[in-house]
Amino acid sequence: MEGLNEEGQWIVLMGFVISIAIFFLAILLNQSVLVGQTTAESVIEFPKSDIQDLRSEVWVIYSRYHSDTGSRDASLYDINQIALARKTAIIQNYPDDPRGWIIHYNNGITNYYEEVGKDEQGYYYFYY
Amino acid sequence: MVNEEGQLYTIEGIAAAALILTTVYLVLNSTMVFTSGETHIYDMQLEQLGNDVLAVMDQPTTWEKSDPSDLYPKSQLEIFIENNNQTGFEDTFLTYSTTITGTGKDTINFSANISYYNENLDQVESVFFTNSQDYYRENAVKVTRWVNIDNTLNTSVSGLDQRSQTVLLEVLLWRG
Repeated sequence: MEGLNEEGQWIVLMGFVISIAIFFLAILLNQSVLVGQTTAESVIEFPKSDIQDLRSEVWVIYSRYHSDTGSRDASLYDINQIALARKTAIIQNYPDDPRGWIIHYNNGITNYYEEVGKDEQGYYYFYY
Repeated sequence: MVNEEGQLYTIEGIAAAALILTTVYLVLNSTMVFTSGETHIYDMQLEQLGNDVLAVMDQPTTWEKSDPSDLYPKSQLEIFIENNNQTGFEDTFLTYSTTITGTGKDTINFSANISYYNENLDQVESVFFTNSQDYYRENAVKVTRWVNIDNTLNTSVSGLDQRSQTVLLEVLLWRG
């Protein structure tokens, strides 16, 4: 080791420090992109609007076809058939169940089940 | 004889090479994300906006019944689809979705179609409703809304059954 030039060790050290810094920055950049993606994707994936839309539509159908159960059931069957074909979701309504009006929604990821109860006059409560 | 000078430089070189190789390997071999994370955030916001606009349009603007036999008043959206009013839908939808704080307009375009259940054929069909611009595979999001319409007078989009029914309005939304 006698012949070794010991000058410029600071420069060598800085080289190491900078390369390690770049290494960690690369990892950080990598992770941050993934985090942003998964957060937004999970928000998109959760069918919040679908369920809100379904509930408000069930309310409309209930109110509108109060005395016309034929049209009511036809409308509910439309929802069932269209949801299967266009949304790949199972949506089923059981309006005359003894427990109340039952809404069932399942799109394979999210499963939503609701029993809408009746008041003393026999009208359904749809809470918002 | 082998020259034993400069051994520290050799070790240094090997260490540096290992570092560089590991870094390059990590960067190249990690999950390749072709669309950046922000894209999904903008998609999410656009989807939220679209759902809000459709929800607003699907609220009755009055509690007065147009006909005493109606149990629940009709919303704007229901009336537009019931009467096949394409310009009415387009104007209202664009007004609600492109209004921004301050002056000017946002640049949002849409293409809407309607899916309905055909009772006689026992199948679901889709028909074009209206658009603000042709869709050429821009980065778009889809928002939907159930719409209950009374088509007993056959005034709606052609192809729908002549009865009271629920159809699905599907709207593709994109910026630009």
